[in-house]
Order: sequence, then structure tokens, then C-alpha cells
Amino acid sequence: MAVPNWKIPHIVESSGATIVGEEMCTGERGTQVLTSCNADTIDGLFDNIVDRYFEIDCAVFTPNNDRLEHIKEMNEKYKVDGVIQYSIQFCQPYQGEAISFEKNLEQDGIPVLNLETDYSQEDVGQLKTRIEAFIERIQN
Amino acid sequence: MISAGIDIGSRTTKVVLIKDNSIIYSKVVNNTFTPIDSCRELLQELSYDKITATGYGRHLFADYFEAEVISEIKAFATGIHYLFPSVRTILDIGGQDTKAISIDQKGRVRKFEMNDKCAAGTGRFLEIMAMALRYNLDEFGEKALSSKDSANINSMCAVFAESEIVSMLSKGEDRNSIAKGIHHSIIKKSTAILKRVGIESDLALAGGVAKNMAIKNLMEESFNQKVLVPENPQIVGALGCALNSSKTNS
Repeated sequence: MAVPNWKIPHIVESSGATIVGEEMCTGERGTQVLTSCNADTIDGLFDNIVDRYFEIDCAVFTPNNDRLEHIKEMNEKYKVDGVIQYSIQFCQPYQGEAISFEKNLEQDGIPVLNLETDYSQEDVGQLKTRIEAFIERIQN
Repeated sequence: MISAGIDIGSRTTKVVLIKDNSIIYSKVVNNTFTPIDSCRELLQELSYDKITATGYGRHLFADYFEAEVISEIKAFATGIHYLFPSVRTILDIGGQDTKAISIDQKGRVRKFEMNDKCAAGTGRFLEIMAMALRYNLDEFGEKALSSKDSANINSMCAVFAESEIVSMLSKGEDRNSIAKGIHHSIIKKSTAILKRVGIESDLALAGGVAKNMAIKNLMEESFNQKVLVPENPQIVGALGCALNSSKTNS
């Protein structure tokens, strides 16, 4: 996990849950789509770079159905019990997308917890309460 | 068998003992700087078979005492379900947190939302505002209800709201009307959190702030429905813990 973005993963795993998949901007998203080296010309390589950017399923793009599909794929593949939508403060595109994603996933019977925080440590107590309560909700 | 529950909150610590599914003892004390010593003192004269802890101090407690640990959300859901089985939505306003909890007919948590790390609109906010208006907490709600008018308080931050109050007072605004405005702003903030879990009847209010009648009355006015408040709303979390202790033993 990229430093300093380890606060939430640490709380989750020290509260009794295991993270089986992630699609964070400091995690899998960076390597999810790679630039193809297959081109004969410099222009072709430029095109590959551009193509790679357009395949990233970041919430700044709309429509962005790929991301939800990818989360659902992970849910099946890893037999997920719950999804935590963790956003860094002021990442509005992600927070906007979180609303519809939550509805969609909860409809499928997957419990969702939304968290918004930053890299500071002062809200660890509050976050721990929420994450533990979320784990209790899943266990019920 | 005697089951115990302890809720070590941000401002107070609460203990409840239950026997044969009824409350036989409860106590609320203010927090000190040495929470574990306070817990020891609180528990030394009590005898119980099993204890469950919740609140900010729950993990510290479990380091020193043999205890099960549950979150405040589960504790309040369990406690309210015991007191009012018809309740589906709970608003708990404590010293530092506001929680909206949606529960099913068995008292299990369906969904919950909390305020973010800022304690705006919580008990602590109310305390600071009462202090700014030189009211003690017991009369604060009463005075607010006595006012017909309600001043419009824009700031949710305790520090900014205090400055806003100072400016209002120096403009000649009525003290009780400001008090009512403060209560309204807490309702507004709580409503936003409640809406995120969905408001389904019946509605219950718990936590220390539920002792304030203005909050209950203004909530009933704003939602146009009855709000159930336990006789002692502060001990609901500790009660939920005690019930959890009795369940896990049988």
C-alpha cells in the first residue's frame, strides 16, 4: 500500500476484516491498464499513451460504467462480504459516484460503507467505530 | 446471572447491570483523565458475571478487564430495540458523535451514518453554545422552547457559532431566540444524517442530548411524528452492552 495512504486499510485489517481487492488511485488503478508498446511509429506510441488514459476508470470520466462493472467483477471473483467506498476529502467526482454505486451495490445485497477522510490521524477513533460497526452489520 | 454493560463515551461513562432481562442498576459519571481508574472505581462494588464494553474507551477497557467489545452502533440498536421494539430509526446524539441507525424488526443494524470527524451539532456543540449564552445545560432547552422566534444560526462550527452569537447579542437579538436557533441548527444537521439512512417510523432519540426537551420537541415538529425518548437516554449504549453480555452467555 502506498505511503501515506495506509490509514483505512490498517484500521480495516486490525478490526477483523480482510481486504481481498481494491481499486484505489494509490493502488491497483495505477497498473490496471498499461500502455501498449506495440506501434511502429512515434505517432502510434503517442496514440497508445492516449488510449491508456482513456481506459482509466477514474470518476472524473462520465459515463463511467466500467468502474462499477469492475467492482462487481471483483465482488464475484473474491466472494466479497462488503464494500468500503473510501474517498480522500475533496475528491468530489468520487464522492458523487459513491451515491449511485452505493444504491446499486446495496440492491445486489452487498453492504456498503462510505468514508471520507484525509491522511491525518486525528479521526482514527471515529473511523474505527464506523468500520467495526460495519463489520458487525456484515456478521449479523 | 447478572450481565453488565459499560459505555465509555467522550464525556461520560455509563454502567448498567441487568438480571432476568430487567435493569437492576445504572450509573452515569463524568469522565476523568484516567478512564481506567474511573472504571475500576465504578465497578469495584458491583458483582456481575460478564461485561461488554462500548464507546471511545472500549478497547482500552478490554486491555484491562475481561470484556467483550461491541461498537456504539450495535449497542444503541440493541438497547433501543429492548426499550421500544417498534422503533426502526434511531438518532443518537452523544458528546462527540451523532449517529443515525436504521434497524430491522429484530433490532439488527440495517444501515448507519455518522457525523464526520467534526463534532458540530453534537452534545459538545450544545454545551459550548449554552456556555456562550451563560445558561446551564438543564435550563438551555427550556429557555429555547420559551421563545417564539428563532434566530438563524449559520455556523455549524462551535468556534464560529460562538462568534456569531456574540455578534447577535451585540445587535440586540433576544437570548432565548438565539437559544432556539441553536437547537434548530442541530436538528437541521441531524436531519441530513437521518435522511441518509432513511426515516422509517417509529423514531427514537437517545444519547445525552436526548435529555434536552427542546431537541425532542423540535424534532417532532420537524418530522411531524412522535419521537420516543427513553427515561434515561444516556444509558442506552451501556444497556445494549449488558443485553449483549446476557445473550452471549446463554
